Amino acid sequence: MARYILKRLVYAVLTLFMLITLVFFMMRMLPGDPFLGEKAISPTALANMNAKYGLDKPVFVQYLMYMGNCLKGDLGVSITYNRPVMEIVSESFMVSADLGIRALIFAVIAGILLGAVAAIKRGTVWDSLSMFIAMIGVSVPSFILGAVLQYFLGLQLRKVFGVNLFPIQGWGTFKHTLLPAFALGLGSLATVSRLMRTSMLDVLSSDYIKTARSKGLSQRQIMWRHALRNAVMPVVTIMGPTVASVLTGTFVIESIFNIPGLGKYFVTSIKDLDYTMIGGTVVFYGALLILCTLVVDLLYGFIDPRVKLED
Amino acid sequence: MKNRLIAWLLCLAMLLTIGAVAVAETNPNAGLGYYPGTSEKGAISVECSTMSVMNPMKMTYNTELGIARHTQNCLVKLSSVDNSIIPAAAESWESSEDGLTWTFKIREGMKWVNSKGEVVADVTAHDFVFGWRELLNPANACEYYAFAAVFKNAQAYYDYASGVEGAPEVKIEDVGFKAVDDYTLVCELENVLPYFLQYVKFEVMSPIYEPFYTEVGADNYGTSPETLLYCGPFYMTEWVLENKIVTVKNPTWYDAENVSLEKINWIKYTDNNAKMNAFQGGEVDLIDVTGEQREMLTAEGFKVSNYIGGYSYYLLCCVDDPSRDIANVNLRKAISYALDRQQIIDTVFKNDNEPSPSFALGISGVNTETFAEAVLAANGGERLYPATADVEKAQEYLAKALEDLGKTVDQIDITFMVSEGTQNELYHQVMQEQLRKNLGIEAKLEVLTITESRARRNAHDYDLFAGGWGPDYNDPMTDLDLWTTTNGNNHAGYSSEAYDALIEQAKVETDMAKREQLFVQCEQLLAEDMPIIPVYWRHEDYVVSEKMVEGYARLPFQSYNLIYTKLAE
Repeated sequence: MARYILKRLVYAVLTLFMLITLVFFMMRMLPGDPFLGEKAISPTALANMNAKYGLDKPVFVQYLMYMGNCLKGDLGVSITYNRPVMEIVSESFMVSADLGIRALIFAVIAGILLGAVAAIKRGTVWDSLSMFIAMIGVSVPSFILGAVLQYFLGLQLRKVFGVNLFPIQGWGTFKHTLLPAFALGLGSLATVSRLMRTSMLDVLSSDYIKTARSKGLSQRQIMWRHALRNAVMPVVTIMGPTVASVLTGTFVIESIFNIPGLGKYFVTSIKDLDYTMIGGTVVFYGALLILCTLVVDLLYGFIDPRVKLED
Repeated sequence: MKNRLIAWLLCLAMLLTIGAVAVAETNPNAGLGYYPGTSEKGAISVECSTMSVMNPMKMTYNTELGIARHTQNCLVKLSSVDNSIIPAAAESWESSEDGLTWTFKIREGMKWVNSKGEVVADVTAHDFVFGWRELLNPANACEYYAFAAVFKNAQAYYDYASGVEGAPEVKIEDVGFKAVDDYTLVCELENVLPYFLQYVKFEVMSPIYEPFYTEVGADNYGTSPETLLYCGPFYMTEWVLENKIVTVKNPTWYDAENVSLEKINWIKYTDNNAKMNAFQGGEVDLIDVTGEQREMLTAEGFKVSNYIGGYSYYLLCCVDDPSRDIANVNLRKAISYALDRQQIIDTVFKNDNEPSPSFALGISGVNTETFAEAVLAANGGERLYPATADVEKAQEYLAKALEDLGKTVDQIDITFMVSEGTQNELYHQVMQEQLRKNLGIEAKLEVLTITESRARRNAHDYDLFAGGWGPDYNDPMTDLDLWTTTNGNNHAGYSSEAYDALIEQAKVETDMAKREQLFVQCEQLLAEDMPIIPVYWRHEDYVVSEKMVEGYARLPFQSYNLIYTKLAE
């Protein structure tokens, strides 16, 4: 086990190294520079700005310096914000993660339940209803859902009925998290419930469930101890990437509800060519993704003791 | 005595130059019951589209400078009533006979406060000296250092300190500003600058309290509310990056008794619909609106306000590459006459934007209200660029162009370089269609990212590219010196000895009326040589909740002035 983890960690470092290298050179190949504004800057001032951010040195030297700083845990100072990238990423990640965890809890619990119910009550109205919700979740993009929720539950509820239940935008109180968490979670809920239904149907028709039934176990014991535990495996598999993407926030949901999360920096840093910020967000996201996948692999071992985590 | 007289005359001249453009606003919807606004007592929430930097000397965006206007104090500022220069940190000033030395008397009793509102120190003349020295410090790499480069030896010092090859040694002490005592600041200018006060009102010229600055460190200064000091009508208590800034009334400000507003929440929105929902739902009091949103609100009977920020939009023509068809002046004129500017505005922007009759906007005139009116008058009331297409003239110029180039219409090769964005792409599609219809020219569109298009623009690697310019100070120079041969923003590559000479003459001419006529000639020469094809003047639409009754202002050079906003009871 320890050997396995160690090996995975070594791979993780290698992956990160490749990621940083690729991103570093790719962003340098983008046309333009971070200081290209609407108004021109005098050559002397531009030289000073380049010097301040170390952009006056040859690209390879910059790369070595950047790598060295990354090893020390320093992701540099954002060119746009004049603040340490680590500080911006960690502050905004706290917000995104807060929202993401709420969305995930909602998506996973509701998704597993819906999927399981749909499978158990296959062909009934429960099944259709669950799959209808899943269909909406899959086919309606979160930005449409967010905008619709905001317009009807935020604005119209207030304008027409005078009920001030959901804030339209902003961040800070529990109320502010309701609509965005729902909009953010519904997509994952749909994926989880559909996977869960398929896998549950599979499990329910397998031999060991028949054996359990013939042993005379109660329906409850069969469901909780045998069926659910086995059926949940595919869901756990997709949790790694889902957790990473939901926790780091999404540009659209954060835009619609005006949430100070990490999501927007993935987009704006590239638009502004804020090199240090692009690097910072990519390294952070990459590290988180690798961590999540590792955790999921380890979880396999706990959920299904047959999975051997050797080599 | 004589000096004082000159000072008064100059003040008078300034007042005349900065004609009364508008008065502080009164809410057209006040009390009508459409949108009552936010519920927080004594506070307003307003949209602010950029808030990435709060260290005043590093600011470049109008909206950021707008926040500094509320939290810092320059020597002078613009009135929220008529945009004229009024005393701020300096209670009075006078200039020498030759206009090169200015003496400012700093108001006594002003305080520096921190983000908790605690008094830290007195504001003195030394703080201006220190602030401006930091602005000129190459290590800070301030984009707008040029505002401090008007002082004697300042540019020479900047070049020397930046390590420019061959730059002679200049010490910071030799740069032309010094504090004679705690409340007297003496400035020496490199050249006569009739609009010098317009420079010191610019928020990058804010003072800095040295002991605090040294304590937090140059790189940390202004990166959070706690690492900045305030001497303006408000101070900052909270800043969530790219999301929200909270400023609270500063009771130690010299005119605090006339400020009734307790708090301003500045909010950044990235989604236009969400912003409108927030306004309609009473979560924000002042937002900018799009043409579509304006139509929707107007249909409800709600009055939308608008103001002129001074932004003029045009097509840059790459004129310094003779291998391009666009280098032919007759072709450019044909395009200018073929464009139906009013149709562009009606189709793309759907608001009060005006088809440009000339280039510069937002500048006051000497004897007329605006400089643009003087241009129009000098041209016998004729616009330099038509509002709607003049197909006959367009065809006339096209015929000449074809003759010059020895080409047929379908051999004409023009490409619009377009920065990506739905509205901007539509803007170019409409122009493309107008050229097709009115000239028979098949122009191409090349859509690029904003940074790539700017890089290509700077390298003069394009035919036509949409540009825009907003004035920094209230003088035609801020717009017109753009097209001199050596100006870094002259991306058209336009070079005219006659034009350069006019600008040089204007720099030394002290008779304001004569000087204005030189600028009028510049406008005429621009229309003659047409390195740019002016398209429209922007009017910015915004809406205000009924909570804000009066006293706020949105004017050229003051995107926001909310200091004296009065709220509904």
